[in-house]
Amino acid sequence: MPYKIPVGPFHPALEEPYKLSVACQGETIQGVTIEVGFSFRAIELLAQQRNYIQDLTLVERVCGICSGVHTLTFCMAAEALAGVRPPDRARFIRVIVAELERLHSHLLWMGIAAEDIGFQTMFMEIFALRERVMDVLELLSGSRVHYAANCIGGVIGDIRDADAVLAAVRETRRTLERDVVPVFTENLTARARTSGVGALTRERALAYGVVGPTARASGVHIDVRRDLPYAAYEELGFQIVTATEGDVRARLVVRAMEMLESIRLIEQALHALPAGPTRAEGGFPVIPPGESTARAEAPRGELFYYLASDGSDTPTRVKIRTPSFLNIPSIEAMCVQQQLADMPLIQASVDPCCSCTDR
Amino acid sequence: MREGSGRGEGIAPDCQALLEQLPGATRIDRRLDGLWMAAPVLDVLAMAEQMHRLEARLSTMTGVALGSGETGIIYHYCLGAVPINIKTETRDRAIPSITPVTRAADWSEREISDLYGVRFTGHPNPTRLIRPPSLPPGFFRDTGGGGHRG
Repeated sequence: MPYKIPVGPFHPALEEPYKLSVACQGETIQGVTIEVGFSFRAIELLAQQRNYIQDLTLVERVCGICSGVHTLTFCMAAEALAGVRPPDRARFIRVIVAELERLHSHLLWMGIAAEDIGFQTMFMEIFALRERVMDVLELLSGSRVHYAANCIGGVIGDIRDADAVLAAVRETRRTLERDVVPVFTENLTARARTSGVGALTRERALAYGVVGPTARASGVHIDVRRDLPYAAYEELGFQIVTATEGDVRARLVVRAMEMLESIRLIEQALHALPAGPTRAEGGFPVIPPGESTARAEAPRGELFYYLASDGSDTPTRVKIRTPSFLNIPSIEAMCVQQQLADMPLIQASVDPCCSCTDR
Repeated sequence: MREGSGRGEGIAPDCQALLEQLPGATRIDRRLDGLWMAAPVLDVLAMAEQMHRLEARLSTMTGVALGSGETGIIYHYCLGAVPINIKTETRDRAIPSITPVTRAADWSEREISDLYGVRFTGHPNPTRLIRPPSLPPGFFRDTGGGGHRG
């Protein structure tokens, strides 16, 4: 006898406030429908009522995890309109902060994944490591989550003690290589719990238009850092990480290996950090009439901003498309013919963010 | 955006010609952030089918309130590593849905319906997505939504 279970918007199986209506036959999922919008804040509308400087503070609050990449992408769109090029030192610092943010985001997700597969010890180990990364962000910016690192034309804070950042990052790499990465790539229990679960074929991934680690784990080779390089990624020689299986394990492995690439990028950027100013000359630029788009690779995938200006200090249109807006619908395809008990792990494996999706 | 350098180099000339030959299409402009086409009376279904054949990826769609009461719709694609932005407009507050051709347009179209009151004809599931149930469709058109300055 078929039956339907409402899961969410507030439910122990979910980390985020959204709703999955799960249709089952026995223990097998027949279909899922998804509802979002439970934390809608009209941030785009609010951004069209505030000036560019106020908007930087606002868009940083679209998300409590990938906050920095929102200000970065907003700045890139405004800089494109104003014809401003950030100084070299600012471009390198932007990479360092963005990759530290990716590290703490991926570590948060890996911790939740560890908990969802029943590996509580690893959950605690990973969250302790994430604290170390957030300490580094606090050292750089004075804040653990909302770093206020970017401004239109460069960055706000400078890196004064590169050695301290380097030491912390190396310590993180040692723990990742020794404890975290082997668990998610080699451990038999983790492998048995995630292999073949919640698969998204490459064809389905392309149809849903998924981005980030969700796309790369299904063999879709897209990454804004490589395809449309921004900040200093071109100089640093970014290496894309992909897999072909498209299941929960592939998403785990892609994120685990991406963390090592993030650390390599941070180390290289610190070694090659150019001297000089951190903001473009001339102070805050006039944003002339026009429109522009900007893309950056947030931890969950491509982040997109569209900005339209009438020449005043307030944008006429701010459009924000977050990666979760594309990734969450694909959960419908991942869950079909899967065990109901695997649903919490499958939906978590795209790292869904409703703060981003609902805005 | 890669600061200070242009994009839109790398799209094959025959792809550009295919897009410019679509019903209602106009010339493609090159800008720093990719290729742009402004085509108010574009046949969006023919455009979506052509983009699908070219294996372009739909990043998202943007709605922009126009002073006329209509809505500007921008389709943001990536063809390989080349961003392509195609601007058109609603006619009588409606435009054909491209979701039957491009699955990834589903939520974008439902969001634009919520925020700007646009009717996407032929959408397989034209239901509320993110709009609070207490607000009417199109509440982004009010003051601050851009329409008053459009």
